[in-house]
Amino acid sequence: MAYNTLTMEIAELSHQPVSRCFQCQKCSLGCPVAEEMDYLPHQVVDLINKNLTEKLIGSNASWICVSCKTCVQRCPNGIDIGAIHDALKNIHFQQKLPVGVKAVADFYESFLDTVYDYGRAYELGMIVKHKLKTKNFTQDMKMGLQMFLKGKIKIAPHKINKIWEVKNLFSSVKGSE
Amino acid sequence: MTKSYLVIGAGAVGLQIAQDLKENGHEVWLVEESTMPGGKFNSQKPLEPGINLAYFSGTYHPGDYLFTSKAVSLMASKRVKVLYGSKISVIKEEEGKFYTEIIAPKENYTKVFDGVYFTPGFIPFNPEEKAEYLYGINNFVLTGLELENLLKTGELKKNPPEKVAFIQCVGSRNNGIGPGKPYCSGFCCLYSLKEIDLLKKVLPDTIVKVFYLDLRLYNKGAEKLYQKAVENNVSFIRNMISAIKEEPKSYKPIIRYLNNGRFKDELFDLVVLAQGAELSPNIKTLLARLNITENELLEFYGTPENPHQIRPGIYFAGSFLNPMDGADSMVSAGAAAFPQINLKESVQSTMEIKYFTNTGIIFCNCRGSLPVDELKGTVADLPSITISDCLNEDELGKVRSFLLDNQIGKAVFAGCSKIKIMPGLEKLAYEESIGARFEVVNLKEQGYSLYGKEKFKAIAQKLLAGALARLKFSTTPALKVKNDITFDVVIIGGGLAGLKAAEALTEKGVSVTVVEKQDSFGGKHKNKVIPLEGINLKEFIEKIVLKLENRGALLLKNAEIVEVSGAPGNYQLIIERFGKRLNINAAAVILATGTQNSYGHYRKTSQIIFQEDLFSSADLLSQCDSIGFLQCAGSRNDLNPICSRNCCVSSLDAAIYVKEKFPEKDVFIFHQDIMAYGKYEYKYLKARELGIKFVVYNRGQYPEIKSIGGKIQVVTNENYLDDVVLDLLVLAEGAVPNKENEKLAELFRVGLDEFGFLRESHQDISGGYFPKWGVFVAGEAQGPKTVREILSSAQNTAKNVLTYLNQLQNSQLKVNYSEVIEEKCAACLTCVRVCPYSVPVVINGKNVAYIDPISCQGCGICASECPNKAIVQNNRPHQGVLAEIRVLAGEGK
Amino acid sequence: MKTGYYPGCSLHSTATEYNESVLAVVKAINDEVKEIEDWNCCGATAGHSTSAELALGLPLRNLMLAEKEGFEELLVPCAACYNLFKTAQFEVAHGQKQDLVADLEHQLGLTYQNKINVLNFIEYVLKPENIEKIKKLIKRPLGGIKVAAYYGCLLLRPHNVVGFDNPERPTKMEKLLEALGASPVRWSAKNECCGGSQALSKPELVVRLVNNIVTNARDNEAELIVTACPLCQANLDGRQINWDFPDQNKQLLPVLYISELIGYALGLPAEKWFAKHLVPPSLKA
Repeated sequence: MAYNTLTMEIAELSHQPVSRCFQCQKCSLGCPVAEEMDYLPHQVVDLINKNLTEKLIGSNASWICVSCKTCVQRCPNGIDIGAIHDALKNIHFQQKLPVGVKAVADFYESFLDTVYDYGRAYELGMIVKHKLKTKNFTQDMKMGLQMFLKGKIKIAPHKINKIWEVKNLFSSVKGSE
Repeated sequence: MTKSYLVIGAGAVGLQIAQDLKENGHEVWLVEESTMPGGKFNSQKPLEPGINLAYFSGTYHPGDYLFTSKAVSLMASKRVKVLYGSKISVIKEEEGKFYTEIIAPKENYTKVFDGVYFTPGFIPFNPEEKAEYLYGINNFVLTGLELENLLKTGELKKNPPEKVAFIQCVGSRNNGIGPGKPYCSGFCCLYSLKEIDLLKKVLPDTIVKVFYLDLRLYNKGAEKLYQKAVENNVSFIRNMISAIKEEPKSYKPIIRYLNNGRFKDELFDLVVLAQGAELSPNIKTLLARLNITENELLEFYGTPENPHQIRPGIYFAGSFLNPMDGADSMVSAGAAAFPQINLKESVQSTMEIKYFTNTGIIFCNCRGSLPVDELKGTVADLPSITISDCLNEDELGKVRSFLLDNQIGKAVFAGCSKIKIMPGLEKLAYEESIGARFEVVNLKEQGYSLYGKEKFKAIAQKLLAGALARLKFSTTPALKVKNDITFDVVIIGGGLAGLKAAEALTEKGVSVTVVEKQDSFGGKHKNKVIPLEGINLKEFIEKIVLKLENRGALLLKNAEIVEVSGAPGNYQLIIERFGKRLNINAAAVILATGTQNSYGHYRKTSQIIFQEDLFSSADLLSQCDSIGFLQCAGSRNDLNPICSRNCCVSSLDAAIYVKEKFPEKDVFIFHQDIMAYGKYEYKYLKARELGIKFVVYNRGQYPEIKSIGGKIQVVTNENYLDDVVLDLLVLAEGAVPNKENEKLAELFRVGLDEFGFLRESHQDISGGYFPKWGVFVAGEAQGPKTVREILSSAQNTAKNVLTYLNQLQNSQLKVNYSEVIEEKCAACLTCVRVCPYSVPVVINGKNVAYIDPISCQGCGICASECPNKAIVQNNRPHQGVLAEIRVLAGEGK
Repeated sequence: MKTGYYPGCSLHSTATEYNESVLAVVKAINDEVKEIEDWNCCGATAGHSTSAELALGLPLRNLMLAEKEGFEELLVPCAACYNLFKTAQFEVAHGQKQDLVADLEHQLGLTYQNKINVLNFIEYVLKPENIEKIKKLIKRPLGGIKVAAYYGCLLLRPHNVVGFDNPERPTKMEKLLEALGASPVRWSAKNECCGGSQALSKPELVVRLVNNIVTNARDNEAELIVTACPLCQANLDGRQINWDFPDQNKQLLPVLYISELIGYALGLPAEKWFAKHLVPPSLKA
C-alpha cells in the first residue's frame, strides 16, 4: 500500500522531512495559536505520516497558522510545520478544496489581488475587497477610522512600471481561474 | 610481545584499560587533562562536578568507590606512567606507530607508541546553548549534576522546593537546526530517576514531574527506580518541553505542557535539565591531527564484532565511543583491551619474600583535609609517615621506601576506606615481595565525616589504638602460594556469549570446553536468519562452531553440569551426558547460560507471532502487506517487571529489513518507549525516514487487539488516528532469567540478584566477575543485552579470564586467609556448610578440614562459626578482635 | 553607493513613521541609502500561503533588481520582508525551484549571484562605524527609561536562514538600547508571536496574543515597547485598546519603532512620527 497522492504532494511541496517526526510535541507546546486549532501541529504531522492526510482538508489549522517559525526552530528533527501548512493551503487553492477558515483565505485573495493589479499591496483596496468578501463591514470600524485619521491608510495606489514581471509570477495561481 | 600504549583520559574506563594492559606486561602511559583521575565518578574534582552516588544493577555505589582502588593500584605499580594535568600537544601517525609530544606540569615528553586508546569520556552538554531553557539566566534552572551537589551538601533542605520539573533529552537526540548531538546520551534517564530517588528521600513531599520523550530505563535495575518514583507520586508526562518562561518579578519558571489534550501552564520552583554528552574541543583537535573528523566520530559505531577500532592502532572505548552508562562503559573497557591481552608464560619470581617484623603507621591527610598531624606519636611510639595523596606516584613511592627502610611487616594505614586503598597497598607490597600485613583505619568516613573536627582527635586515637591492638595478635606470616593450574576453561552455555568467549579464549591459546544443555549450539539466536544488528546469526553461529572445532575446542551438546568442587585454578566439574558422567578439570569457569523468553499474556496464532518466529523465517513476510510490531509484549508487566533491552533494537532491525526489501509494505511499531539508546538512536531515525510508522500507547496499557475478517486490528489511543489493520503482528517477547540459574548458583556458590539473574560482584559494575574467584559470567546470564552487548560482554569476560589465568600462574602473596588448627578440628563440617565459597574440604584419611589459602576469600564466617574456635582468620584472630573491642569500648590498650 | 533600500508596502502606508525615522537616522549619521527602482511587494504571508511560485518569486525579483543596480547591501527595515528575502536567498543557495529562478533571470536579463547582503535595521545600526557615530550624536539620552525590546518572530527564526541573533535569547536590540541610555527589562515574551497577518482575518487571535505580550512587558515594569516590525507595531499599538470599550482602566504601553527611539535620542524631530501612534508615546518630543 503506497502513500496516497495527497500525502506525497504535501511532503514534496513542503520540502519537509515529515517522516522523521517522533511525536515529541515540542511544536504544539511552542505554537502561539495551537489552542485555536482543530488539529495541533504534531497531530498534523502524525496524520500525514499515517497516510490520513485527507482529514486535513477543510481543517482550520493551516489557516490559523501565523508562520512564526517557532516549530521549526525547536523541532529536534528540523520539521517546519508552518511550511507544511503552506503546502496544504497551496493545495487547497490549487485544487479548490473547501477552506477551513474562509476569512483568512479571503484575506489572502484580497491582498494578492492588489499585488497583482499594482505590484504592491494597496491597503485601502484590500480592505474594501476583504469586507466585500466576508460581508463583515463593521469589524474594526473604530480602529480603522483612527488609523485613517492619522494618515496611516494611503488613499491612492502606486502601480509599478514592469507590472508584467509580477503578473507572470501569478500564472499558476490565476491560470486555474 | 610487549608493546607501548597511550591511554588518553584517566576516568574509570581509562584506568581499567591501563591496568589490563599493564597486567599483561605492556608499557602504558596514561595521560589525564585534569589533576585527578576518576572522570565523572570523581566528585572531588575542583572545576567539574562528578557523581556522588551512582546507581547500577539496583543498588547505589559511591562514585569514588568505582575508581579509587583502580587508580591507587595503578599508581602503586612502577610500570605505568600516569601524567595528570597534562596535554598531548602533538600526535602523528607514521608507519603504524604514533609519535607524540606530551606537556606535563613538571616536564615535557616525546614518545612513540604502538597504539592509542581514546577514553576521555564526554563533557556535559552546555545547557546555555539551549537558551529557551534559560540556564545561566534563571537561577531556578539547574543541571542534574548541580542538583546532585545540592543534595550532597544539604542545601535543598533549608529551602525545600515545592514543585520540581525534570526536562529530559537536553542536548541529545537532535537533528534539527538548534544545538545538540544526534545520539541519545544513554545515561540521562537513569540519572534523572536516580536524582528523583535521592530527592524524594530528603524531600518526600515535593511534587515532581518528569517531561520526557522515551524513558530509557533499559539498564539493569533502572525500572525499579521508575516503580519507586510512581509510588512516590512522581508524574511522567510524554512531552518534550518547548521553552521555559518566567513569572514576572519572582522569575519562577513556567512550563507549558499538554495534559489530556489540554494545554497547561504550570509554575515550578526548580527545573532540572538532564544534560547529555558533548565532545571536548581538545579531543576534537587531537582527532583532527589523526585525520578523524567530528562527523566520523559521531557516526562511528564499528561492527558488533569489532566496535572499538576505528583504524589499526586507534581504539575508542567507553562513553567516548558511544554514550552509555558507567556499567556498560566498563564492559566496553574490557572488550577494547582484549586484543592486547595474551596468555603469558609463567614468570617465576625469584625474589624471596621479605619477612619484616616491625610495625608502622602510614597516615594520609587526604590532600590536607584530614588533620592527622596531631595524631603523630600520640598513640604509640612507632615509626610513621604521612602522605597527602594516594593517587600520586611520588606519595606512594614514599610508602614503598618507608616499608623497605624501616623493615615494616605490619602497617596500619590511617586514612580512608579499605575498599579504596587496600588493593593498592597489596600491589605495592607484592611488587617488592614484602610479606606485609595491612590494617586500614577509616579516619575519614568513620572519624572526621561522622564526628567533625572537635572530636576527631579522640576518635581517631581510639580507632588507631584498636587497630594496633588487633594487629599485635596477627602473627601468621604471609604465604607465597602457587597453583598447579591447568589452562582449561569450561564454559557453561553454548549460546552467543559462550561461543564468543570460547572463540576469544581459543584465539589466545587457552583450551576450552563448552557445555551446552540443548542438542545444538546458539541458544535463542541459533535460528535467526533475518540480520540482527547486521549479523545473520544462524551463519555467524555456524561459523564460530566450525572455528572452535578446528581449534580443538571440546564442544559438548546435550550436556549438563551436575557437580562442582575444587579450588580456583583447579576446579573439578562433573558433566552428565546421555546418562554418563564425565570429569572435567578447569582453571576457570564461565557461566553463560543466557535468558529465556517470556511471552507475556499472549498466545501465538497464525497472525500473531513472536520475534523469534519472525527472525527464523524470512518467508512469512512476503505474504503480508502490513506488518506490525508490538513492543514490551513480554516485558515491563506483572509477569516480567524489567525492560528486556534487546527487543526494540531487534524490532527496528526487522522493520528496517522489511521496508528496505519491500518498500510498499506498511510497517508499524507500537511502543511505550523506544529503547534506542546511545547510537542505536540512529537506527530509530533511519526507521522513521524509511516511513515506518510509530504509534505510542499509554504506559502499562497494552493496545486492544481484535481479529476481524482475517486481519488483525490494533486500537490506537489517539482519537484522530484510525485503528491499524494488519496482516501480521509480531510481539516482542521478553528476556527473563534462565530457570537453571538457581541450580547454577547453588553449584557454583554464586548469588542471584533480586531479579533472578546471576549476581555480579558489587564493586565490579562491568558485571563480569563474581565475588568467587575463578568463576565468571558472560552475556545475558547477568542481565538482558543486545547482540552487540552480548559479544562485548563475552570479550570482556574473556579478558578477565586471561588476566586471572596470568595471575594464577604467578605466585600469590596471600596474607588474608583462614587456617585450620588441626589438633582442634573435630571434622564437624560446620565450616564446610557455612562457607559461601565452598572452600573447606575434609581431607580423607586425616579427618580434619582443610582450607585452601588461595581460594579463601578471607570473610571469616568459618572462624566465627567453628564451635571449637579451631579456625583462625589471619586478619581477625580471636584475641586480636577482643583486644580491639576492649580498646574501642574504652577499657585501655 | 553600496547600500540599497527596500521599504516594502507597509512602510509606504500604515508604517510611514518607520520609513521616515529610518531614513532620518541614516541621514543623521551621514550615510546614504537608495530605494530600489520599481520594487514589488514581497508577498508577505499571503504570498507563501497561496503558492510556491509567489513565495519565492515575489521576494526574488527584488533581490535581482537590487543586484542589477549594483548594490552590495540591502537595508530592509520590515521584519517580514527581511525574513522572506533571507528565505529566498537560502532556497536559491540550496538549489530549490531552479526553473523559477531561471525564468526570472531571463525576464530581468541577468545572472543572479545571490551574494547581496540583506540587513535588518538593527544590524545596520549595530555596524561598528554606525553605532559609534550614533553614540557620539546622542542629544537626548534616554535616562534609564525601562524599555521592553520586542523582537517578534521573523527577525529571529529560523536561525539557520536568518542568522541574526540568538533566536531564543536575543540581545542585540538591548545592546542598542543600552547605548542610547535606556534600561532594557528582562521579560519572557520578547520573541513571542503577535499574531502577524491574522490582524484582519482573525483579530480575536491577535488581541489575545497582544494581551499576553503587553501584560508581560507591563508586569516586568516596562514603560514602553520597542519593535522593528511594522506588523508587530500595528498589532501591539492598535490592539491594546479595546475599541468597543476604550475607557478601561489599564495602563497602555506606547509601542515605538527602534528607529523612532534612536531618532528621538539623536534629537531629531520625532513629534510627527509619534503623532501617528494610536497609543500616544509619553516621551517628550
